[in-house]
Amino acid sequence: MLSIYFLVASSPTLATRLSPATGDIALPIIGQTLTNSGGIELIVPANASAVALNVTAVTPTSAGFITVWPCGVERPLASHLNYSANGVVPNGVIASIGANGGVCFYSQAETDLIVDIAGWFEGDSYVGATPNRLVDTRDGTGGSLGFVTASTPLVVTVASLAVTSADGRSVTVPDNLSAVALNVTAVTPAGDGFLTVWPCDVDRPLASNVNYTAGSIVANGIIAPVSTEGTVCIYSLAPSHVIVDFAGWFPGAAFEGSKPTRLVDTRDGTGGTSSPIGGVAELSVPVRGVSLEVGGAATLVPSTATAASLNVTVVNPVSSGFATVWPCGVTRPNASNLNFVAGQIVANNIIAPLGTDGSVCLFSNVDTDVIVDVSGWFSGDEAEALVGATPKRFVDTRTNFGPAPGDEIETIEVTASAFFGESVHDQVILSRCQVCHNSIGVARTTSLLYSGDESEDFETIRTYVATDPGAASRILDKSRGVAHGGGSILSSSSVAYLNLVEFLQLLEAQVADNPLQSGEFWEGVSFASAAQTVRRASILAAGRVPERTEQNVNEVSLRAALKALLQGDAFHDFLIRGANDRLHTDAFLNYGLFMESIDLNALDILPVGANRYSSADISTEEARSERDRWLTTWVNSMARAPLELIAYVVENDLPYTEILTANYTMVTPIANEILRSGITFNTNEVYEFQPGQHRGQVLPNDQLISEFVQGQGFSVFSHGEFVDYPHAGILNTQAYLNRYPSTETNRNRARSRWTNYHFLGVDIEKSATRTTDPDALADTNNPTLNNSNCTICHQTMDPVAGTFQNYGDEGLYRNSYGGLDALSDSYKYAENPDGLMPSQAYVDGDTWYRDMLTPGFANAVAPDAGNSLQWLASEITSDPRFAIATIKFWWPALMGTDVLEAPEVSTDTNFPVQLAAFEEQNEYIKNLAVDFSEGIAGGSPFNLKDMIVEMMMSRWFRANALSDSTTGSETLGAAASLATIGTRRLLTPAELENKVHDLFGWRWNEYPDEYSINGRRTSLLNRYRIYYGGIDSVGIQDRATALTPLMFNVAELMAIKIACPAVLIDLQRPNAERELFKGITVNETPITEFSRNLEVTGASAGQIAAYGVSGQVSAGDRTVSIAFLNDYYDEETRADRNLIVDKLTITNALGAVVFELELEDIETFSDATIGCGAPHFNDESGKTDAFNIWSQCSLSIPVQFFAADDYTISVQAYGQQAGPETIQMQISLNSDDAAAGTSAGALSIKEKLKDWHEKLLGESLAIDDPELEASYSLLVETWEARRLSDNSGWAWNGEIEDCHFPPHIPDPWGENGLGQTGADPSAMKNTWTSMLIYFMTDFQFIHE
Amino acid sequence: MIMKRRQFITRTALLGAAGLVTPVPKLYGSEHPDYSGPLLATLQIDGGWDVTSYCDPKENQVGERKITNWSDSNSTQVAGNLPYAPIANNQWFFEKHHQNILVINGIDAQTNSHTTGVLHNWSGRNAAGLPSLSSLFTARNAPNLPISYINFGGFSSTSGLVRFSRLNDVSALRTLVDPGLSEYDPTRTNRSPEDLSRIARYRRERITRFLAKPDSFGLKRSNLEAMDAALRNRGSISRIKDFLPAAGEIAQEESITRETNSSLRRQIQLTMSSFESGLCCASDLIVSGFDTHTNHDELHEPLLAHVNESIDMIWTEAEARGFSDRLTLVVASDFGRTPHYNPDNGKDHWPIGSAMVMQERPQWGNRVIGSTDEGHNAHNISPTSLARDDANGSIIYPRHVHQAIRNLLDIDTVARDNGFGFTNSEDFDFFHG
Repeated sequence: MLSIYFLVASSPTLATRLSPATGDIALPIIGQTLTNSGGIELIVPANASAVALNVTAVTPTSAGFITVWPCGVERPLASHLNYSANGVVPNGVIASIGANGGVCFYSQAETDLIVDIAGWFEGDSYVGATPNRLVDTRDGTGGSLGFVTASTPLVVTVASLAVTSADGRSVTVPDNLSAVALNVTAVTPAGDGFLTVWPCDVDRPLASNVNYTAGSIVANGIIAPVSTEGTVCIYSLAPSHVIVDFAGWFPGAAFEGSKPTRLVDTRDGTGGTSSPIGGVAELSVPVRGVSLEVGGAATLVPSTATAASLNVTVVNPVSSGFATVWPCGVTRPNASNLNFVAGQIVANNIIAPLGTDGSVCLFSNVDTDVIVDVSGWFSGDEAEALVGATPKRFVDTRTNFGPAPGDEIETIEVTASAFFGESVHDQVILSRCQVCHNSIGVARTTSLLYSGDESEDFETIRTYVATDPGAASRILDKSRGVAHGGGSILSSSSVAYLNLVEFLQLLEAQVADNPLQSGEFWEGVSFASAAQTVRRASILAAGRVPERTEQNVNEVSLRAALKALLQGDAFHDFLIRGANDRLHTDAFLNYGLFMESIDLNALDILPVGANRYSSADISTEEARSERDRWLTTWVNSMARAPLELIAYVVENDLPYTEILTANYTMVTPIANEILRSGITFNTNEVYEFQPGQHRGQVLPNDQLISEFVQGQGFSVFSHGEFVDYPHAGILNTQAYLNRYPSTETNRNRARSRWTNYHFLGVDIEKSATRTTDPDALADTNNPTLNNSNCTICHQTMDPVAGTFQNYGDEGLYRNSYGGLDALSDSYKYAENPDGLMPSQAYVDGDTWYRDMLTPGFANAVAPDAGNSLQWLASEITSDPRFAIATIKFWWPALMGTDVLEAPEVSTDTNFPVQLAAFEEQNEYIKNLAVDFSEGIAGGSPFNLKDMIVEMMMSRWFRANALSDSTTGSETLGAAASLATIGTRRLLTPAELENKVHDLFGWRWNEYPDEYSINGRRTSLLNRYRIYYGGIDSVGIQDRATALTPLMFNVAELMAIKIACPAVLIDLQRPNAERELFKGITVNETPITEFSRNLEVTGASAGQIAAYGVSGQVSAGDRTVSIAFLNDYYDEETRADRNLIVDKLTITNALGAVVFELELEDIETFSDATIGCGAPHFNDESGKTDAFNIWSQCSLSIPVQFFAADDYTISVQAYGQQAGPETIQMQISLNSDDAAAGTSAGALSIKEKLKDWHEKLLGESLAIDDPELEASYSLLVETWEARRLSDNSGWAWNGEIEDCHFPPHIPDPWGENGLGQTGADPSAMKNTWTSMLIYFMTDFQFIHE
Repeated sequence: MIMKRRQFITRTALLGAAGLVTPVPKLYGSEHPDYSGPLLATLQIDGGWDVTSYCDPKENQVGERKITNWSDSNSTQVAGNLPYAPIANNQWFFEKHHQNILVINGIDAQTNSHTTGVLHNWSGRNAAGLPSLSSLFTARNAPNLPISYINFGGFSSTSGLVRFSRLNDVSALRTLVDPGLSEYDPTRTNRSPEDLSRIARYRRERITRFLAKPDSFGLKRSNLEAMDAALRNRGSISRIKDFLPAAGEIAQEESITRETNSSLRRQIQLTMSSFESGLCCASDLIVSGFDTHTNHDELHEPLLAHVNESIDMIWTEAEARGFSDRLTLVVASDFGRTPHYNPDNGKDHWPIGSAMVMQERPQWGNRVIGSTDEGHNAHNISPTSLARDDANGSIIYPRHVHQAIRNLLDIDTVARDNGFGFTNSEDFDFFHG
């Protein structure tokens, strides 16, 4: 027996008008069923502490008020809404739930009452109290007596208050609370106006919480963020009495209070709508992604926000009416949040659950202006905070709906059999179980067989659970999919499942006490922002790092941003790759596996191909190579046909069902010729795929006359008509049929097994209990038909196998002689030599084996043997499982892991977690599948791009981190424990290559390869693919997903090979076109104060000129650097380019010379550094008169600045000109402390590193972030080592290092030789190269 | 009446379960860059082998369907105590190696499906979730060697215990063991060692900082740990270069049958080089082509010959390289093949199969455990006497084989500590009985 709360009806009549005479209304809350914004039914659990209500008094007989309080304690002195006679007054109320699970309602006057529920609070997220009156300015309660005025706001201290808890105990409000729930009432104000409630430590916002007219009494429930001092301020525009009742508080982070902010005001267009709403129009108000002020800082409402605290005001409605607020995306409920009459201003505070798109919808049945203010949001996952629901009406006394006044909540006991009859038998047993668990059903061999009779079925279960202590848990586990042939049939959060548990407990069966609930699954997990999601999606599906502008999105615009990514060549590759990871038909590329059915050397039923092959010129090696080339192209074309078909369907927004139902295949020019498809192509590409039909096969009959010549193949002289190939999408592409070849005994079962798996999500091998009887499988009498141990699988498998009846073992269409069927000769013409074979069954005209089950699907028989595969395609795509299978098919392409399977062994230590994860994911997939098949967000049915977008929007794609590491383990759900969930999966070789290609413009070691379907070979996708965890689609079909030392070395080798040319090539690009170095030059070093490159045009001493650079300098020690940037020497002509510098002069802002040095004397100048060169000897004067810098190096001269000022540094210079360029000189002023990181150059470098962290690694860092400091520190160390090395001056050390440019990049050296590209007087090219290696081998570069 | 459901949901603190989901291997053995502990190789016979033509030979019976063509003209042979079918080069193989082999016949895979057969025979359970023998062995002995566990395909479940490496191209491997060195000129570097060393230091420090952050979880944390381990363990990887075959000696992929090419000999070369270098302790080898639904004899004979030659190569190489006394080899398949031919002269799937365990001259060698009848149906075996016991014995299932091998290899503790233990109702001590 079990105690259950229920409501005792005092009379047959239910709810009537509420009044003191009738008694209070007690509304049970615990156990009520609500629907969340995702459409999932939820039951208010026993640990719910409070409930969010909208309470409306309708046509009271006289003025009065309503009090709402937790049942079980004495009614407190408090008012939640105040009404006048015949009015309609609503108010939002957060009501604590009483110890008996109910909330009570009292009305001072007789009135109709409407109660809508919008959600509940669980656990400690909200601490509800019995309403406590804190302030009443009419009598001085709370210490304030008299009107609150505009100049004297009321300050209410809520921290450390002594209040009464929901169960009547005295408790103290803590001093670290984030917000409080109040009911604030304006009483008899002196004029029209409003109250504003806000945390006292910020400026009063433009917002209203209570709108009143002179002399009225208006209440509103408010969630008020609390100042750091624990206070709440209340402002009144007109002088007014104010009553404040305390309802409870939010102790943790479940509610994030913000400065109240106006989202919508239709009077002035705030929020984008500038006219009244009303009638059919619904106003959608985005909340997620909106910027609010929290603690003085702008903060975006996060993607994890589940509900918002809104104050909604209607202004000047044209007539009486009501307004409803609900989560967008679900049907507008029958509920009201505001009731008004013409011309009124009415406000109500509303806890508004957000729709799946992060928005709240607002409806008014008459035209009215509306104002929506937001004062915070609820976040975290469901059980952690507010569990928001679509508002649902529970009391409406106008229609006698709800509990009657005076009824009490009592406890009764029910019997197991009664509960079974009422809540289990029809809802669970008949609707979910009996379809298989009956005497002739699929589960007929199990112990639980149901007759459909309630009493018998009750007895069946009662007996079953009584005989085995684990039986009850086994029933529950099986229902959730654990080792259950029927898969998951009940979610543990469903009403049906909870009823089943209840029933088993009533039977006093042992039930595991900790089934993890899906609602708790994501506890403690936070999710990637919209911008982060765009980045991840772009890299994975679009093969590129998105532009910043593309990442400028919020939750509302995210869906469109993601959809926009799904196009282009890289998306095409994503589709090909993702499909191949499942189908593995790329195994046939380049003969990785041999496809006999398209072997032109051995076939005469493709006459065009056969004749092309046999007549090909093979007289020379060149001619044979040419034949090999087109033959390979033919093979690759046929190999890729199924994947290209999938890509074609997706890219053209065709219904995804067409991958199976398409009446075409995909052909390239060579396939077009051999298959006689008659397609015209747009390009000259040999691998341009177009949809086309296969009209190239003839049947092997007596009309087919051909001759086979060894080494040349078949010459076909005549043949019958070409076959009208009955296309069934990818199902009868040769690559698909050959990937699952058949045999005489297999009889297409492999094709059936994998078709079931890929397109129905049915793993036949797991669909039946496995026999433990060794004799059971040792059966030779046609076991698949006669052995019950086998037929469980085979009755699913064999009919589908039969629908492939027209395709032979290698996939050829009707390849038996005569072309009448594809049956094996050994079946058709067997002589039964030993008498043990089945009796000869073949009858002329048969197309399928008579000792197999009839071709069909489910319980239907294929109507026409000629097109049974097309019929199968139609049946499959009409089956609800197709949509589910499609999601499972594509899941790994995005998530990097297969979908979760139900754990099979309940004694495994991590079983509960795995089960919870499976269930959560399974529910998500099932729901998404429904949307996918019906059309997502208003889109067309079966649009795969929309489905991919939804998966990208999902928590599964965006789970990013533990949201608050300090909250302790009790807040973590199962997701936090799973190693397979979340972001930062290892990029596959192709994904990493795409990323590199996007960033740098080329691939590692890319060479053209005319035999490859993509026309190239690269190191990562060819030589190192297996080492980097890739697949070959033949023997290795599963990707390695965790980095090993060898895999890391692949990444490092690529980084080393690419970094040097990548840096140099990018630096050669115009600034606007740079990927890596936009906005920075290599002149900028960690010590550079300012720097300038100058073109020295003088070619002789007579053409000497001053070249200068100016900048602001603070007092202190500096170094002036003079560098020669473009040395040149031609060995043939001995033409030599040198820079000759004469005098260094520094002047201050007034033009006064503060430093001067004749540079021919530099060798004598203390602490000067000479990279290269020597004093220049003037032949005419016979003396040294300057300094000759003859190679790419610099002179460094220490200078002390005594005062801060603007200085000009100039150098008199000319040069020995040679080669096509004029001399390039760089003058720099440097500080002497690179590590300090404060010079202009250092700051510029840090900004660039910050860019790199964001662009290459997806990290948005503050300029002082330790990670950025670490990168800068590495840069400084590298730079200092490099500039002091023997090789200083060059981008790489040619003595021992290589820097190979990709072959397709134009000669980087140009006519000007090494100097232009390799010169590195600042050592920064070299340094940036090392930094790029660091970034390219970073965890976040190779994991996204 | 509105009912309210009793509270039955107990929230569970789950952080403690994390270790169960992403187990961190406990270091049971000492670990050195020049690993000198025990070694394990497994040879996965992919597709289901016909043991009636191999180590569980069956002869045709009068009045029954033909079970083996070879028994038309030959009878079962015996090498030491091991019966074998006299086809292919079985005689040579069993004569040479019978002292080193324990044959386990009559193993019931309880399935005719490849997927489940592979799962069952190579993890010991027909439900997913258990790691491979090699994973457990690696976790026990040397999880942190640079290439501690090699997998060439086939069953590779690690259950999060360790990570496997995949190897194929020998010349490519040479370039990977020290990315800083030039592939073409040993006197040159791709990048200065000082730079790479500095970068490596900063990279390690960054990973350490990431790992110290309390907010990472799930895949991210798992991958951070994998990369951290990869960085920590890669130091001595270049040593393998000294043990790799020279360019001219690298075994090429060879055609075994018209339908099957095999890289098994190259897999063995790479495995042996890795073992010898002290950088590796376990390797999963694989050879395919055994799913002979047509022309069974024609296809199976060369495949079995190839298997025999390859196993011989393993032991010859191991002996030549000086570690044959440390090596255990386990050979098994998806299941067996039908005790009769189909109309295409093929043999289809049969749940009963065999396994072989090999060491160098073990005390338990030269024995056959388990038996099948003339129709290749498994007999019940006594767990204590290991003899046929129809009344009180048990069929041998893969869990029994795995439990015994776990005991032999001293990896049962690491399995149980990580939640991968068996709960067998009976234990067969194949190696001490």
